[in-house]
Amino acid sequence: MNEIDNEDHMEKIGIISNYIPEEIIEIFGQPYRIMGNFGNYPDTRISSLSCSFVKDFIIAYNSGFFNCLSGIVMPQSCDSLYVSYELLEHKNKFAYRFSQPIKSGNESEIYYLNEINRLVTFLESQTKSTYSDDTLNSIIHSSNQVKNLLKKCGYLISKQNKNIRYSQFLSLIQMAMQNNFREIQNTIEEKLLMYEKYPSTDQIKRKIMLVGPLIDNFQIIDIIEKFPDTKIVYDNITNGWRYIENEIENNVSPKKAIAKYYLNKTQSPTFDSDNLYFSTFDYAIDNLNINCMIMIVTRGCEPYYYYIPKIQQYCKKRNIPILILTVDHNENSFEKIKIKIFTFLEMI
Amino acid sequence: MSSNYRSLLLEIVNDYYKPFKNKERKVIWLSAFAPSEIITSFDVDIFYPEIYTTILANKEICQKLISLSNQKGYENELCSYMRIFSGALDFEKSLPFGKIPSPDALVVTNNQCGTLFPMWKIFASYYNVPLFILDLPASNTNRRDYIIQQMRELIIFMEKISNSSIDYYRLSENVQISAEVSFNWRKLCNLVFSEEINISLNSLVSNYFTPITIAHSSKKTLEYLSLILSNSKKVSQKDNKKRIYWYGYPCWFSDIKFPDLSNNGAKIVANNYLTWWDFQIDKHDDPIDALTNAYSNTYLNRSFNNKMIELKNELIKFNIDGVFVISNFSCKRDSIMSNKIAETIQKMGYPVSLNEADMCDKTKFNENEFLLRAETFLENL
Repeated sequence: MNEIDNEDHMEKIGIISNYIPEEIIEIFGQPYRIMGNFGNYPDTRISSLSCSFVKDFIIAYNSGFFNCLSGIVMPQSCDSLYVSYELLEHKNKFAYRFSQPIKSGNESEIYYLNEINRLVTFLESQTKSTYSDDTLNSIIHSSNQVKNLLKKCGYLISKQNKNIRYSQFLSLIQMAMQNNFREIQNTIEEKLLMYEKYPSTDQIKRKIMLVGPLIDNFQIIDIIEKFPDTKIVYDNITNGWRYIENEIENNVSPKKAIAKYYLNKTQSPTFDSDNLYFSTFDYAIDNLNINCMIMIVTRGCEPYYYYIPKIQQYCKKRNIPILILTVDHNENSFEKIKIKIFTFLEMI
Repeated sequence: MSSNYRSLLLEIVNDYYKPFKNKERKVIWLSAFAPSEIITSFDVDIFYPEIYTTILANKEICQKLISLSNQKGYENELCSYMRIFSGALDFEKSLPFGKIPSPDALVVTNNQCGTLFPMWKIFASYYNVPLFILDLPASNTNRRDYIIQQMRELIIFMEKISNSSIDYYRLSENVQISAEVSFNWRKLCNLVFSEEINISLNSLVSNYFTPITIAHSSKKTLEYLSLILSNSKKVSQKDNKKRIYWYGYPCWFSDIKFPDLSNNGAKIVANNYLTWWDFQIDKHDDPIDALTNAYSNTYLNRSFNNKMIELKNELIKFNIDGVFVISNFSCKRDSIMSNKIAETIQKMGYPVSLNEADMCDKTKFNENEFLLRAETFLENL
């Protein structure tokens, strides 16, 4: 497997997690979200019990797959990611651990703001760029614009336009996650214009909500939509609606606005409250009339493993069938998955 | 050992398990490294699910509890503390000490792992009671004010639960006692690890450890430790067995918490887990400051480098010949890091054997394989 391309020769800074402020990172380089296929490397030094995403990432990182990154900003969100920071072989790259609070509220905002300042000081010491409120304001503006465009795309899909595959929508989001907001805006706008011209389709029988952590294996998404009269219309996944929702305020100091935005996003299971998490489920059932859910969990992802029974109970209460699929991050055998998905969808 | 020590031990254990028979006061469930000093400043009883699970792990019902938990949808890869305990909540037959007292509130921290509190959120909704999550980020310079504020919020939370105001004198006294318990516990561990007194490592964990975990800020525990320290006999002559350090959890599923290696001319003499209960509380500090420092710097919340520096000091101090590193099925932090830990110890100049086990689920520990590996390791030490 070749390492990731760096055709534009920009300084790329790797990030993992939706709760690391990528607008801040963009001042110092191009935020590059770690996701996708990192290749398969023979390495038994990391226990097979590890989260398969984290395992793949550490091995790929230490094998040089991410050589074009000048550094990486890691979260403390789950135990696997928390310790993976300790396992990265730096090789002239910086690695930084960003500590986001697991609670919201005033004290958390102050803490997050202090963490932003700490990150800025660190990145100033590692790159040639310096922080300014003006630059951050401009990035915030682009970030909001890009996310609004992506939301429009999401709404088109939720209106059951069968001609746009959900994986296309997720690919657009991935594009935003791996590029500068200020540079990607036009590309996304063009794509959206194209999608808007697609003719709308008839009512669809099976409307699905996708649930889980990061789902970057789009082949599985395509398998779901290959089933007749079936469309994914909404999601609660890391690299889906959870990434694009909400807007960063522009009437307060930019760093404060960033802190507030990141602490008020829909929370993943690694946060203290479940209310916001399940509110998106309610929205999908009550407003989009979804009639089933498919949860795709990366093998070894402990926070989501804890949520499986909770989500099952929720679905039972709301009378919504759910299929739980546990897959490896670099899953490449789809036959069994396809059988499971099709059998489930036949029952809907 | 004097009978006073035994009667005190019995008293501490009976006090703690009283709500299993008769719940007279409000019961607060605490995670193992939560600031009990604040909670015991109120007239409430406390209960530690993880500590109770270490008892369940060694009972015949353990596998039944695990399968009950599986039936609820919990994956086998999750922490066995949580799987066993979650099974126990729905177990209809009798459990050790009686019936698990239902909580009036829960207090959990994330200074030991980040996946404990998701389970506690489930417990809170199971009993429909309030949950306080104390967020204790791992080492960084910004965290102090954030944690102090949460400690204050915890006090307010407890005032609401108990319908009473905190007695700051009592809190201060609890912190003082807890600091001394920590100090004396560490002293006892050091004496046992260096074999200066006639208490073995297995005896320390099986017969002496419980009060440190369930009543850390109690006067009785302090008195109990003082009695042990003053009455322990010194070891007159040491044997020539190889001295092994066990890096990981004790085997809670077994009667013998650290495997017996006497047939191989070796013995496990020291362990890091037991020292985690030295919270290193500064008793001269303001109580809230002292608790903030102590609970944000618990062993599991320290950086890898700091943990390894501490380990190296212990290997030297206790004259260790080799190390068993345990890759724990239950613990993602442990299992992911185990190879790096083993490599680091090797670089320190110590032979290492890396073994897989689970602290509670005996089906994940292959004893024969372990003994064979141990035999080979020890022969070549």
